[in-house]
Amino acid sequence: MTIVMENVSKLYQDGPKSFKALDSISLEVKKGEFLAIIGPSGSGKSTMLSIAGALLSPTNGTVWLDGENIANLSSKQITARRLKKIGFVFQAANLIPYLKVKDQLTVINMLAKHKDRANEGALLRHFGLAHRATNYPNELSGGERQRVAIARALINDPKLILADEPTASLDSKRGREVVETLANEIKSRGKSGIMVTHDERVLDLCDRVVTIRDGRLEE
Amino acid sequence: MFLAIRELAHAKIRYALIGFIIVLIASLIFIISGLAKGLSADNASAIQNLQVDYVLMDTDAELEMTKSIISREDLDKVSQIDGVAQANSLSVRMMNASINDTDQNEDVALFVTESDSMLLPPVREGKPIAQENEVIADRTLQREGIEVGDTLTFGEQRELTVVGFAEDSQRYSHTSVVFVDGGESEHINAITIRVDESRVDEIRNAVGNSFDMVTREEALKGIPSYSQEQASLNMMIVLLFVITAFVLAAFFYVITLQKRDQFGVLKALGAKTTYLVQNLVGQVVLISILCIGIAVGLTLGIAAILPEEMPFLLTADGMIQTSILILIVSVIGAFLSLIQIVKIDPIEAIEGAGK
Ligand SMILES: Nc1ncnc2c1ncn2[C@@H]1O[C@H](COP(=O)(O)OP(=O)(O)O)[C@@H](O)[C@H]1O
Ligand SMILES: [Mg+2]
Repeated sequence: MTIVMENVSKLYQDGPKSFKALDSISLEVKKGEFLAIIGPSGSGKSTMLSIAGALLSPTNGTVWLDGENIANLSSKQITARRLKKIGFVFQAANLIPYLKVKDQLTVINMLAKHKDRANEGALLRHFGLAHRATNYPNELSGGERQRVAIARALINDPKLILADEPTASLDSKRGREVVETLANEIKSRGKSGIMVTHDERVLDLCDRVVTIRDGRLEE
Repeated sequence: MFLAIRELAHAKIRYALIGFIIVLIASLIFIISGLAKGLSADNASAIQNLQVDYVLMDTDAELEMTKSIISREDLDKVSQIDGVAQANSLSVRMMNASINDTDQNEDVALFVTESDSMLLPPVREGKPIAQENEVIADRTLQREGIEVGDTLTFGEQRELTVVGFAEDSQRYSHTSVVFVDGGESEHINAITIRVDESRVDEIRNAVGNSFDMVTREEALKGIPSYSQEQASLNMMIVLLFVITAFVLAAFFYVITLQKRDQFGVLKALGAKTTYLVQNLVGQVVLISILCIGIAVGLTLGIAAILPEEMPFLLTADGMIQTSILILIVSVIGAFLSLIQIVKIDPIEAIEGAGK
């Protein structure tokens, strides 16, 4: 199992009141499995993804990432785990505006102190972006941007890919292409994937779909 | 520095604008420092260049040399103190001299001492003084057309001949100094001494408290207007440093605010805070060094076209010190942004959660 969540709850303290955004959620994602999370707005999808991505710690419950209980890690170690074991694809691609496409990948390699940078060119070719290597993000189409974001998520060869509404800024055709790419990469490279989405039309590309409603899971 | 350099290259205009402001402020700092040094030298180089360790003045004079009255017996007593290697008198007379009995007049400060005095400066043109009517003059007088052999006449009584020009600048109270042998005159203004530094405390005791025993630096304070001149210029310099810090603080604060999302994403992707901080400091240092370099060039250019009479003095030491200070102040200015970067939570990369 790449990621296991056991009875995870999240309580948000909002002034004197507290709000239960996640209520005892348990979930596992296997190697090579692509999971979709759907649910109405405000149901807790982003909160769940943040906890899975070690960006937020749960109020209760345990998260095992690649066999390791992240509650036992220091914040430095957690940063390092995010770098090495998790690849993020954000809603609006969130590329760094002043970095050329190739440098978007280089910066991750540098953070991970990888000496061998051959994978940068290889990944760009794989995603049909070789001719865009020296372009800035604002010179790319929405679909190209998300493909760069996927390449960036893969560059460190992580175990887990997390995608937060990756199709939100795309039309349905481009959106479907992006999810197809994600699904293919997760399958062929043996990663685990979790995607939060609104878009019901791409669910057929996922292995499993779970629904969150008011912080509770429904399979 | 990977991010720092790429961002600078990408947002050239934005950083060029702030760079331009920093260049202007830094140039202003260099120029005012040059002016402060120049005025200081013009007002006091004759004291700064005295080859002595301490100056003794009458306590009542409150370091104002011309008001201090000391008798020759006191000079003899001081020279007898153990640890005093040499003692000479110094008297200062502000005078107006007529040159070669013509209409040309020059204000001069007569520095009167003994014929074998350690106060007599090295000569770069002409010869040292040998008789009581001979003087060594400050080289500024050369610019006024005075040459070796010319005479300076003071009223009816006294005529002195310029026999040499001093090596270093010799100015006092914005006036050229001429050194003259005053013989064994009864009243003097100050006693100058060279001492064995390890015995300064003993010497101080022996001198007693009817005299102020001060270093040359302290003696400068007694020169009319010296402290006020320096204080007002130094105030400007300090203000410019403060402005530098605030301009950079405001600029980088706003930029960092704009880049919040990017910092959130980078942190989520696994960038350590120290890495991001390094990049920001790198940017500030890079911009500052570049701007200081340009400002140094600009200042040297301006110095080259300033008229020679202008009291303006740039020293390599002074410029290096000022440059380092500007650099430090710039980094301090960026501190506010550093705090911001530290505080940004990587969860901000995920929209809607944790905010
Ligand atoms: N920091 C927070 N403090 C208080 N409430 C929060 C905070 N973050 C999210 N919430 C609340 O938690 C619920 C779930 O949020 P979120 O996970 O963003 O839902 P979704 O992504 O499904 O729209 C929402 O009702 C939201 O208002
Ligand atoms: Mg959300």
